[in-house]
Amino acid sequence: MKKVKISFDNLKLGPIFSYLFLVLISSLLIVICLISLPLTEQFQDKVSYNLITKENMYWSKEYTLELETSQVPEIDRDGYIEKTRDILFRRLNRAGVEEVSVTKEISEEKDVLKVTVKSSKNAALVDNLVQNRFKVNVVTRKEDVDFDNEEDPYAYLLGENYNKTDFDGSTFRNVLITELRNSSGEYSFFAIFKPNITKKKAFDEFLDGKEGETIGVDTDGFVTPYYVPDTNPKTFAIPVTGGESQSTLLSLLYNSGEIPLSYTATETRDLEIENDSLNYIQLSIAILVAIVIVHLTLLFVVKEDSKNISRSLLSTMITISTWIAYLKISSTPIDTWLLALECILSVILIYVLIHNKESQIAITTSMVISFFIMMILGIGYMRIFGKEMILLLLISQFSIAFGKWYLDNMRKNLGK
Amino acid sequence: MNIFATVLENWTRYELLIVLSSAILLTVIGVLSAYLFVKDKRAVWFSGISSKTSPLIVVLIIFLANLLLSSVSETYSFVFMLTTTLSAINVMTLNNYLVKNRNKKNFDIDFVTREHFSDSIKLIALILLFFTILISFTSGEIRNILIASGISSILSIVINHLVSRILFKDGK
Repeated sequence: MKKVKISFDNLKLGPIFSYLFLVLISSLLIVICLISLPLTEQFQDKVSYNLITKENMYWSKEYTLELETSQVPEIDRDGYIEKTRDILFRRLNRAGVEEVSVTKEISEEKDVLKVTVKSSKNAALVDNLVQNRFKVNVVTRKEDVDFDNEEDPYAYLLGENYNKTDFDGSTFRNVLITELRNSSGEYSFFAIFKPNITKKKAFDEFLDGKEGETIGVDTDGFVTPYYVPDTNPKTFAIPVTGGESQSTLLSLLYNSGEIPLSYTATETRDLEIENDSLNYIQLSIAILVAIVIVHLTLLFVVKEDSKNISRSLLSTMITISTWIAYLKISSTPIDTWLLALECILSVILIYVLIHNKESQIAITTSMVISFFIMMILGIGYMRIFGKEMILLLLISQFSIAFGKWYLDNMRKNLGK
Repeated sequence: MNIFATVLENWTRYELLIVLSSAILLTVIGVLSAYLFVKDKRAVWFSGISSKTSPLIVVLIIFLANLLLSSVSETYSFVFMLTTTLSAINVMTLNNYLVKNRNKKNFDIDFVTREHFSDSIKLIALILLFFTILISFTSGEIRNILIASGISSILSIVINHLVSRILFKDGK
């Protein structure tokens, strides 16, 4: 198997160009370091170099959801309640909500779910994810309802004016929200319903039988009409209004599963947040001091090879500076404590990768796989951490290769 | 929210399922990569045992923290993440030493364990220094997480080395 290796060894330039190029690269490194340092934003008015920390963005709420279990057979009750908890949790976790807890309080009078959330995400998005059951049904128009009645212009929107069909949320394996060209030639968002393989034939036959008619998708009592074309193949797609934010919300609601129980949000309570925030300036000093002391100790006490130590120090500095500079320039909000953990792991990883050249590929590959699993299957902060660590690993790999090239060229040029 | 109460009483089936499946997946990947790349029974056992001991140490440390601090939040799951990552790195270095050296003339398994010992000491020194400096600059829960992570990581690496001494004996 061919090994993929980032290498700057083949980059040969004339001595003058090489010297100028090194000066340019050194300036760039200094700029990146300066941007990443705290308080440098105070020296530049035109561009904002503030590190946006999430600490002040957090809010916390407790939702009380009263479940309607009176119509449910006793034998299915517990299963339905558990499924409702699972789907609510899945929705919030997929939305990137940092802390979620869905607890049940079952009594003879009523069954209640308490959803406790702590997040920096948009509160309206989270409200919608918790408070909407989002029960989907494909419906057909009732024959006795006049949909063209000018005195009742909203008749087409109400679920009570439609007949339910056998096709509900479970008919579709996935609902893809994407931008498509509409009848006026402009791009707008559509929800494309993709039926399960087992139900595809029945659904296609249903659509064929409704050619030229208007049917609809009933969601919690409100219907979005769909005109069935007489051409094949038929794409069952309904328009989505509200732009990208609404499409994100709908994608989560459609694709996180079908809640089996009806419920009402009876109470929403704001909770106080216990923020154990870290001072960013203090943290920067701590990381900088730690990196320098650790490398000096390794050099003078552990008697490590000076070439490896200088490479490790430079690569670490480049990685952390680039990461913080990226966060500042892209205005990406971050938890300071999470940044601290990311820096710790990066410093250790870079040291291990440089000092165990023979294990570089194995360690990097397994770390990428582990962080990827964390990103996909993680909960709350772990998801965020996994995603950010993959980016940091990529920056580390680049920094290690670049650090070697830079130091070798510096030695060569300064030695002349 | 207390981590133990949350896990035992409040976790949904979905939460349990994804946490268990990711833990199993990570263990399987560790053991499978040892089997495929090292092709040595001892390395497979080493990876398998290590993937069990480090979570056990973390549970023990979190349990002690729970006794001492009375409340341990879900953020302590990062102790698990840091410890298992550092322990996995430690395991991989030994496995790679084995792969690189076993085909050499006069191959001596003691050389591999000695190299691994030296690497483990350096890693422990790095963790000790880095965590100590950061702990002195932080406070509250973050400091407690760093202390717990540092202790459990060092313990895991020490146990990894002890296990390697037992598994990779000369002549076996």
